[in-house]
Amino acid sequence: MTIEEYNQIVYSQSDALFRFALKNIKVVEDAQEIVQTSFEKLWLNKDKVESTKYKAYLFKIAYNSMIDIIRKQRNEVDLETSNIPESHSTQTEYKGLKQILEKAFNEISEIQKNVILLRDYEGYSYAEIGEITGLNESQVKITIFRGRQALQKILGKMEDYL
Amino acid sequence: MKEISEEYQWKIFELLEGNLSESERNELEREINNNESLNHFYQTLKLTYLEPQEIQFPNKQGLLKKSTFTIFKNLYFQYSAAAILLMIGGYMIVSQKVNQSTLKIKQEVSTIQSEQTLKPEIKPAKSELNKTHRLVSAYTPKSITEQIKPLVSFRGKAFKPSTKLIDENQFLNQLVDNQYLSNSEKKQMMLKWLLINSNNQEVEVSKNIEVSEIVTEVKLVEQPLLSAEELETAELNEIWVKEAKEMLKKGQFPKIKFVTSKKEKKWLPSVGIEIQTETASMVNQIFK
Repeated sequence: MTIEEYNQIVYSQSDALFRFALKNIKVVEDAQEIVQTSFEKLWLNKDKVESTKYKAYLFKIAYNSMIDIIRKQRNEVDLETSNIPESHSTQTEYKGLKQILEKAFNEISEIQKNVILLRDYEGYSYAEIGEITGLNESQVKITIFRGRQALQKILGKMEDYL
Repeated sequence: MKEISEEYQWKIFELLEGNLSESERNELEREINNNESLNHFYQTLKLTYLEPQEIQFPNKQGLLKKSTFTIFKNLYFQYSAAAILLMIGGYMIVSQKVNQSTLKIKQEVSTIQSEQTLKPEIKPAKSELNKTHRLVSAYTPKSITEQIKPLVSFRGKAFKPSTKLIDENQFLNQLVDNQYLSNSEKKQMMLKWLLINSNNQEVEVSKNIEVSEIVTEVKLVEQPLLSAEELETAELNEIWVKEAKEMLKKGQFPKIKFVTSKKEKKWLPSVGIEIQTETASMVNQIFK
């Protein structure tokens, strides 16, 4: 990979990668770090990665970094809240579809969230998503279906609050 | 509202994913339109398809790898510039010392004069005069050139220093003779940059690329002129650079003017432009 090719990838993929990371982990600094790490790794492994797979490679690294961060966050939260009784408050005000979707999106599993983001935001095929997430095509399709099903159910319930 | 079977949920999902054939799609759409529960499921499932959002990575520049490429490969210009700077620096130090020594001499002279006024018969000691003379002669221009730290290596190759490195022609010749500039580089320079014909006419380089999008900086690079009798023309100047910059802004590439050596029929730019781009290959792209 030449510097020029690398820079072209930066121009064409950094926004998408950042959006993907930000939508998952919500913290801007963490998302930025994921993007930086992904590009650093791409540059370090530029001779090992096939030129047709740069994009998938970037998303794969970002995906793995995100999973690590999310696991860490989850462990921290588990430790902090292990003795706190679950709140049953449902007094949430939903302002418009965007917010409802955001809320619903946070309630589905990480893998479902990721495959849907890759599908809807990046327009990846099932095979490409499979390459990033390590699933096969059928698993990807099923995961997207289950994710959308879950979202649909949450949205159906939330309609009552609207 | 009736619960939708898994089979229909899958079918509606396939419809929204765009995986159904036209006939399958038409049939399912008909069913959806005639069934309120199916329609409700279809509408809510459709809402789960996210609209891409415009989110930009804030530090794109920080990710880029940068390289610069100078049109005229003016490394010899850079080294000569360094030599000139050293010379100026040396000259300043020397002039300071000379001033100090001159002051010292003047003081000594005035002391001697005053002593002479007081004691007109007594002459200044010879050894004192010789001492001040030696001080001044130690800083003549000739010795300045000897003190300049010469270029010792270039691209990893040892470079035998020469006291005549300041001579622009000789320096350039040494670079070429010692193969510090490869033949392919010379060729590249000649073919891509200096498309000069035997009549020293201006040559416009045509491209289909938006130069203004790629060029990030344009700087003036001056080539110290060859001796007057060797030059056919030496016309490039500030006005040309301004015009060149304007043309680059408009996405056009400026005409290049040259000076040539009459004797050896060599080309040499008198004034060039240094273009900084994201990558060197981008520059190559411009001049393909």
